[in-house]
Amino acid sequence: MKTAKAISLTRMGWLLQYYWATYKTTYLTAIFGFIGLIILVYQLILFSNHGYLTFETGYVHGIFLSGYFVICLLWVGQSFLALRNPQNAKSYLMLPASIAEKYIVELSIKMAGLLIIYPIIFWGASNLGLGLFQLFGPLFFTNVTIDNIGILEWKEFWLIENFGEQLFFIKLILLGLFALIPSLIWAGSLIFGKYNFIWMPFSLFVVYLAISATSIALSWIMDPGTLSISINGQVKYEILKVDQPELLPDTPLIIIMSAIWIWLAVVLSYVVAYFKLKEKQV
Amino acid sequence: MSVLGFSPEQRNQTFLSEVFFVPDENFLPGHLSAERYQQILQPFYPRFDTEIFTRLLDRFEVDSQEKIKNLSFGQQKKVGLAMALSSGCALILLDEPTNGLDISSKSAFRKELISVLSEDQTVVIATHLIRDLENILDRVMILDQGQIKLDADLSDLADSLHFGVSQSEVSGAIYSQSSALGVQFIQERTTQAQTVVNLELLFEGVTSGVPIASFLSKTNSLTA
Repeated sequence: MKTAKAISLTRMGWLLQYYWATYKTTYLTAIFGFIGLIILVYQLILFSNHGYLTFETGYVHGIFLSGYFVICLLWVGQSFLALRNPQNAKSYLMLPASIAEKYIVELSIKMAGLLIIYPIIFWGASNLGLGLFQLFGPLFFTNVTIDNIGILEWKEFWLIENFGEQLFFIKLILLGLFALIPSLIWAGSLIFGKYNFIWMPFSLFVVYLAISATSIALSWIMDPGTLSISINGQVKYEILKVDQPELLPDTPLIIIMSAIWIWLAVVLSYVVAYFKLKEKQV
Repeated sequence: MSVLGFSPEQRNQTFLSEVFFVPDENFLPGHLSAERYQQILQPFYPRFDTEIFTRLLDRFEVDSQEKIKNLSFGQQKKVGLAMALSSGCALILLDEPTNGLDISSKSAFRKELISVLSEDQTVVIATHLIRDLENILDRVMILDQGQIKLDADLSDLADSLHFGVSQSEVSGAIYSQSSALGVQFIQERTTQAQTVVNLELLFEGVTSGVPIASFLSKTNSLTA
């Protein structure tokens, strides 16, 4: 029997149709639910602050980034819904498409939601939220200073102020951290399943503790004076500075290595997720 | 293990397009109609026949426009069976296909199963309701505690074994069992006329440890 190509755009198109037909209600509920949530958050902030809010304020960045984390947890983190129960898992796993096609289509849908649809609905819902406040704010406040609704400007969504002036590897680390969040949560959806939104943050917290403990322990090994326990049981510690050697101007080795490790973790998360999907059996 | 030249655990897309599995429990998306489900699934199966699908739903008296969740368990099962029989797959796996079907639907299913399938298609049926299907089987495999106890053509079984009912114990019986009708027995067939294979009795005999395979005259039988 002749084997078909492992990745076919036509088959991925069929898969997209299958996904749309099967999860249309879920997708639309998620979109409208999130629009409602953003509008609600705006009203809460505006009405409680008695002030104003436009895209020029830091509030918007905060709301946008908070939404980014929530979307990562509840949208990217709830991938492969078909694998949640044995009946649907059988149908999904036996659907005639390769594992790579199923993986790419699911990932594309999730990333499109996070990186394209979310900014659009955030912009739309922000305007709606601000508009609502313009409409109803004067009923409660005498001094409503919103006089225009913000227009989407990508530079306003830039994550870090003066980002352009940062060192190249620092930029890589910062961007890597924002790329790492969805990639880890994506992998977590195949490892932890339904309760990924609890277990993945918990796992990250444990890893954070482990890294901190390792840093303290290594500092203590290198210099026992960095860790001390006083008579009343108070623990004092400091972590050795590791800003040498510098491989590039103002760029220590540890910064370069951190950037490499973070991006490696981003890539490996996707690789691990692929193999987790591959090992699922009917 | 190799099936159709593929390793099933690899879930190769070509292999999957040649296999259709209907589980015992409902596996269909409830919010879709049978027709809509067929439309989104059909492209994945290159030999899918829409005409057969429509005809089978008519034959099974299932409303193709009705949402699947509004159909009864038996009707949902019929949609799954109609999908499987229309898929054109080389291998169709049916788990308890007659479970939930009423008497007339079982009869319709048997007839359609025989008429729709082509020579290059194989249907593997796992069932406890053996009487529903015993007249349409070519080959039987008896599993017990996860082990294959017997794998033989029905024609070999009919050639080699004699199935009968007697009012008293029969000497020389390979296996016998009392029932309301009398003593059902299996004998090695010598000069007797061929009888219909009593699959329930055969199952009881095989699972009670009788080495039925050793009585088969053909060489293509297999025991675990």
